[in-house]
Amino acid sequence: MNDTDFPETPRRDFLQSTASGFGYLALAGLLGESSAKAASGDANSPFAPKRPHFPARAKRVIFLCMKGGPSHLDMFDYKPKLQADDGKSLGSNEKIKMLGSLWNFKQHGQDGMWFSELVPNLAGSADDICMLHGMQTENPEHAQALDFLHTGSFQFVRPSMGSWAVYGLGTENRDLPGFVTINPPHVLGGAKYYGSSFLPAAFQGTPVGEYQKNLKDAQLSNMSHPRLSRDEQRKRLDLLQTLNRGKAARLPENQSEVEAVIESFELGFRMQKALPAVMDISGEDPRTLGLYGIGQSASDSFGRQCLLARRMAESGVRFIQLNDGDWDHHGGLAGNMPKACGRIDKPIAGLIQDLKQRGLFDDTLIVWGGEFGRTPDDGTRDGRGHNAKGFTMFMAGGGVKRGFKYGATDEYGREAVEGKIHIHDLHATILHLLGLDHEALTYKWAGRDFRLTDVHGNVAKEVLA
Amino acid sequence: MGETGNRSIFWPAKWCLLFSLIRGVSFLAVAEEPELWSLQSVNVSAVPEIPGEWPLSEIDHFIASKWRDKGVEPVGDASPEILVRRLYFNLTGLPPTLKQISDFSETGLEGTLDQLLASPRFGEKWARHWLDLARYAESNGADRNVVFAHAWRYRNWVIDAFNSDLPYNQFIQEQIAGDLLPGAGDSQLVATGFLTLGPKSFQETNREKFLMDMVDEQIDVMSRSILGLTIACSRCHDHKFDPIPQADYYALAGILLSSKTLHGPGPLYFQNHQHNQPVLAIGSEKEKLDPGVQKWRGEIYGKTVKAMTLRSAAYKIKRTVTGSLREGGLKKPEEDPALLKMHNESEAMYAEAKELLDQRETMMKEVPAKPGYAMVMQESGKPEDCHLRERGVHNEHGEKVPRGRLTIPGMPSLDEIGGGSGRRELADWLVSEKNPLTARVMVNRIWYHLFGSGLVRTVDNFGVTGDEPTHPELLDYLAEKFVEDDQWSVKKLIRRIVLSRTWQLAGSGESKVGQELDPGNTLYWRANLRRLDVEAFHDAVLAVSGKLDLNPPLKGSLLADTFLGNEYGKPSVDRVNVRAEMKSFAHRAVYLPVVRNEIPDLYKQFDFPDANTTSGARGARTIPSQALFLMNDEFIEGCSKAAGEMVLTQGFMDDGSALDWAALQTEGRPFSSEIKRGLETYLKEQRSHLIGKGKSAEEAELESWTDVFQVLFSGVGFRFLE
Repeated sequence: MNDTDFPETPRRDFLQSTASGFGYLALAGLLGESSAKAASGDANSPFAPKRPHFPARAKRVIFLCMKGGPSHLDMFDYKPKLQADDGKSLGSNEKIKMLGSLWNFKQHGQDGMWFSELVPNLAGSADDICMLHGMQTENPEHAQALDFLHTGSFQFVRPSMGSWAVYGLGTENRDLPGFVTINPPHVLGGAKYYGSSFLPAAFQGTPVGEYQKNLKDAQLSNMSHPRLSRDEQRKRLDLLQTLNRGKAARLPENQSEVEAVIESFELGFRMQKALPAVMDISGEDPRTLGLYGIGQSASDSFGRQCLLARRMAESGVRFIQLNDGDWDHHGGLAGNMPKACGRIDKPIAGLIQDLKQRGLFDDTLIVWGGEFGRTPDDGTRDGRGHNAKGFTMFMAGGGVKRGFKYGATDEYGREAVEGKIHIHDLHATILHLLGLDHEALTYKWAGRDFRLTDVHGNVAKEVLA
Repeated sequence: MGETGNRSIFWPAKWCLLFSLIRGVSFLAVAEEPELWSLQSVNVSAVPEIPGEWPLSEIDHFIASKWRDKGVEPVGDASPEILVRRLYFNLTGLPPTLKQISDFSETGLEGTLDQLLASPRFGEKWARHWLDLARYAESNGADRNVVFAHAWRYRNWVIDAFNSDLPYNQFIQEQIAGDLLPGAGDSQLVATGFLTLGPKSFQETNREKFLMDMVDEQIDVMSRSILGLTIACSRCHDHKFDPIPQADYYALAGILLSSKTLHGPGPLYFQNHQHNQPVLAIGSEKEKLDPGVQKWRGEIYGKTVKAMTLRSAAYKIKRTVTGSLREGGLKKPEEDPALLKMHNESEAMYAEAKELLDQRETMMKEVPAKPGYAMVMQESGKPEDCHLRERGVHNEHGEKVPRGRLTIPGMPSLDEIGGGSGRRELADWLVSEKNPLTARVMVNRIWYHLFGSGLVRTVDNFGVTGDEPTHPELLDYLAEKFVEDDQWSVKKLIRRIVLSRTWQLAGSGESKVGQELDPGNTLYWRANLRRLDVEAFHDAVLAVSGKLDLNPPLKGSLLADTFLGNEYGKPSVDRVNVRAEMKSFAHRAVYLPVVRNEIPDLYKQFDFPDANTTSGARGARTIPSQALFLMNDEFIEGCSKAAGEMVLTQGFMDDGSALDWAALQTEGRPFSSEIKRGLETYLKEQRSHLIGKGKSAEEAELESWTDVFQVLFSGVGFRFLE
């Protein structure tokens, strides 16, 4: 980003003055169309790219959300002591017994990172990954922990992480939304996970596809007309714009408002082409499809999500969230874990590789994880319970160390003991990598300044490259 | 506003100190005059002298005196066709029909205004503004989106209250303490639904925390909507800006904790958290019918809980079996007698659960005659003062704060609380004539709805961080008239404002230095251009296309019958499908169920407020997804087609006369000749284009007109009000 392109207006002042309704949203589309317009259009558009607080290490985020709480103990957090004490009852309740992982672990990469045999492809990317073993969250219930992961709060409805990012940085493609969430869940918090809450609604995420449905059948709403061709629609739009321009001429005092309407139709019209074009993967090389595991039944669905994430990253979408479910393995661990890992292992490794070969890995931050982890013991020996005290997430790409593991849980993987990263810290770190100071990125609402991290959060400096 | 702990990053120590000093000073001055303008008593000043014939009402004198000070002159008056449209949308949320437009020249502004104030459409429009503040919804949202199947009674109560012009002081009293008022009937009970409708964390395992969060939400909604104060900011510490001590928050919390919030049952799976509440039976047959319903509900509930418990236990056994098989290297339970026994046991439990659920399905079809039910507030019977919570943490108890001991400077003190919760005294305090906020806040809200901007821009925040009034004398004049002359009558206040000349100004025109000196129109020298609220847009599109059903829905709400109660194992909205019905909904938008976090696309796109929190101002953003909606959505397409069919059945003699009709229908006045020519050309070209594509003449005709209405519905002339 070129610092000199941006006005010095403090972000909050800018929003306060524009939220009054006057010229609220002359769109980013104004940019470049006429220099005089661009100057005012830029200052007024919430989507226009904005200068970060300090140089950004990542321009965009791809957040891979594993809803349900994946078992760190069966994927990344190898615990010899847990294996050794498998079947032993160590607490006061003798029915609760330790359950060692059912899968073999091996070390990979220069830092000797542990991976189980369930994620062989990710293991191959060990030297690109920054593994975070000391994750902690507030609450071991799905609804609360998911709210918390997405918004930093589970008591109140708050803006989601992606909304904060777009609020802080704007977007780089005038034809596409700045925050997209792919196949978002509609249960539990649903739309809250990509909602903008009290931030201006322009910053809310745009959902694409449906939860647990293959993206190849995804329909975008209102992206085409049921009856009219693009040319016919253009002609009809021209008629509308004539009407609206007539109105603008008659209402000189409200010209900017009417012009914003005119521009919003032009941008909408362009989006109709741009968004489906990004989603159309028919032009991708078969080798690329193979890299993401597309075409293989286990990984096809999530592979398409990952490929779409890369295409959106290339097109300048700021925050891209991918969603996978079915990680809540209270029972049937032996069958369910291989299935779940099979869905995501190849696609994510493929995404990392593809971003690297296209030169996007250096400024794209990948974040992987669920709302919490799992317990090392359980009454049934068939699954694992919820664990908010210690679990694993990983980051990769823009601004984080590569082939680096950070933090640790105790000898059974029950609780983080070293290098703890609370979800507030995760949020602070993500914003930091985007060039945003989590304490300065505030929005005034109902009489006080709000932040993604509330009054908490420390940047995990140790993981920064 | 949440447990923010004891350290504040927003407010470094030196700032906190500064604010404490400021507050300290303001406390010293308490008895005399609070520093905050909104807490000073309403001060009626003389109506400014404005010579000449321009002013029609005293309001105009106040407005014009600011123009005089700044040297600004207003634009001219709005034309009758703009005025009639403005009047209908502002009063009823609907466009005037062609007949109503032509009647206007005879009936005039005042006569039409009185007709509209008496129309049932008035309440449907103005209730919605209050419902925004009441964060009205028919589901919980939050962690478990359970349905509030009886919430619609509160919505209807609000509509009725605006239609019957229930004085605003009573309107507030009934919502806070309707159950405690002398001669309280069902209507007053339903009114207390106001406090019960908030989102709640049903998954919260700690009962005390659940209650403190619920009360926090109640305090927040009540104080921001009625007083324009953010009292909930004082949960953790004294208010950072406004003179609201932390103890005052707990003086209010004690009142609400000494009451029962009958919000209905929580989700089935969280029974053990004790968050279930009943709803209250109402109506003349409640004694006769309720016991039967309770018995029936109880049996269904019993079967459900038993089935769920069985299934959960069976699943646990099944998991143990699977775990043991894996450890023993076995494939099937048959290979080990002990495991086989367990396996059979779990299968039997599953079968029993299924049998119970089948019985339940049958029972659910045999619904006994039901009385009405409502979400209400009641007295707990065990009134108790609330401990202050250190740093807002629910279980860190400090000193007890006497219920109702409010010390906000400028505010009257609460009447002594007798043996009850104190809600009755709180209700009286809120509408006390010595309370400087309540009338000011409401007058400003009504002004905002009639002009598109408030005299205080921050309509929900009259505190230090809010804006000061642009016209303080006018605000106080209106507050005084509202309370004294008009006895809290909302209709009279609206009448007073609409009859001012200021309200009747044009949106554009010649004005001396208006645009140069005051482009933001804070001086009201012209009318604001305002986008229709989404409800008005929805209703107007349906009205123009002849599809609007002005009757309220028969069963109260789409969700009213869908849910028997949450305890039947269908706890949340995502388990039922009313989306299809919501799509074809042809009643006025105010009757569409508000499902938290599941707002239909049209409403989301056009700034329907977040029903999780109180909000008095609507956004008016302009974003591309609105354009995509208007260009492509089936609602617009369907209504455009219906409007096109109306054109065809009326048999106009040519496109020109049909377009004249369409112009009045959609924009309330004729098109300019240039626009009309453009539309005629489009019709002509599109017809021949479609016939060239092989369509029949009839198809081409209808499709061309459908396009024209889609364009008209999307246009600024239809969607915005001058």
